[in-house]
Amino acid sequence: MNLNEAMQRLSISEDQVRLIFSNNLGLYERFLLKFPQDTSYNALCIGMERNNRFEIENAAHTLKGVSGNLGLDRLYRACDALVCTVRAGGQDFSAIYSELTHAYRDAVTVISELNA
Amino acid sequence: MMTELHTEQRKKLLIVDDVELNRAVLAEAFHEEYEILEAENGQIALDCIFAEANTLAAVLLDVLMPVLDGIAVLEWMASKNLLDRIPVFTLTSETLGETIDKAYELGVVDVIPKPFNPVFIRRRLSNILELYRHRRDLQLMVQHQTAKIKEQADALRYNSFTIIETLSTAIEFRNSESGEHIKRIRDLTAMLLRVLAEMHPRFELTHERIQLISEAAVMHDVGKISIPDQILGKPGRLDPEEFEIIKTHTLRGCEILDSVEQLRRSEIYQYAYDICRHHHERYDGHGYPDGLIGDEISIWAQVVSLADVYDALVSERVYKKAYSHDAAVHMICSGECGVFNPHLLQVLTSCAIDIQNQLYADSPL
Repeated sequence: MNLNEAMQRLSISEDQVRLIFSNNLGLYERFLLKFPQDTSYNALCIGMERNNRFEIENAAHTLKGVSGNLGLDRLYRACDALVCTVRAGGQDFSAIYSELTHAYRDAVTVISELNA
Repeated sequence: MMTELHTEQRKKLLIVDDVELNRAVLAEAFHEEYEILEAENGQIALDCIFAEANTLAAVLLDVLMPVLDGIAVLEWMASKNLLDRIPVFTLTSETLGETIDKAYELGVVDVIPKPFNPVFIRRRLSNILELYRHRRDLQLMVQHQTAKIKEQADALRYNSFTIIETLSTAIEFRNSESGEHIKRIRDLTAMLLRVLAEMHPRFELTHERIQLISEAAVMHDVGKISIPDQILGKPGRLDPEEFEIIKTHTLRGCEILDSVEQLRRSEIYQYAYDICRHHHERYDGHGYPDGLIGDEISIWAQVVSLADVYDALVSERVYKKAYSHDAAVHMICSGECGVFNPHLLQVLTSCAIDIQNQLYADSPL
């Protein structure tokens, strides 16, 4: 799978990533390929296991930033929803966390096929 | 002291974010215009800012970071007054909230939202840096102008003072006395004030103030220029009418000082005017021209008054011989020459020997 195909599979806007990466798609691809090594999703899972709101909020906030910059909109929106729910004092994150996990796994799956 | 670089010479951009991706995006946006420095936490950022304070054009600063967060970095920069010189932009996906409020309070110039829009960031950075450049240029201009104005003011002050001192000296010569009288009045006033300052700190007589007052004392008799020769130089006792004319030298002196505009605008004027007008007032209210009583008379006018009487007593004049220093002190303290402030009499007696040895060493008495 090449970059264009991966971006289409994940509904990534090429205009948006060109804007963020100053038209340097080579740089963008390099960081997209690194995304599966990003530790913030793991940190979020740990926070959820411990039911630690502080850890959940921080990890989701970081993952939100990364996904936003990479144009992973579905994951970005899920992270944003989780951050807002935690800050608003919500108690039940299961639905949002489920959506977030699906979005994350989809992204990682596609990225693992990139340049394969 | 580090040399302050003009804004145009500041060409480094520090990007502070614990997420490598964020640093890479921003570096890509600015690497053609700036030399990029990166820090992955607040502590590394502090070290970098400290080392590069003179070369940093701006700092792009994330808030949430391990080791040391962005707010702590801002607080440190604020404590070192660096935020006036180095604009800081915070990077955040939040636009509201306590953290942002705090960042603004500390002095960030702008908040850069995530996800980044480099076009937007470049425009904001450019606008802010231009503002800083203009402000810096303005500050330098003001500094330069202030220095020039001070130089001119000092020159004017010196000129005004020289005019008055020359006039005062000329009057003394006209008075058949040497110009040494006004110099002795200046030195005697300074000595009395220094002792008074030690004994009574409540008068707040700083070194600078004493210097100013004693220079102002030089002008105390400038009004004598208006007194006719036959009265000023009369060897015998003055009749009541002649005495009334002599008394006018206080007010005439004030008119002369008032007429020198540059002097009026100087720091010395308030003292010179007061001394000129009131150096013949007496503590019991029997002086002239205003009949002031007690502490209505400024302490500096009282001191010059005392100095003037003392010098007159120990100097030869057309109308009298010189008294000895011991006799002069005795006459003043006993009230023979008018009533003086008891504190000043104490000051006089405590430094009488120094006055004689230091200021009248050449005197035959």
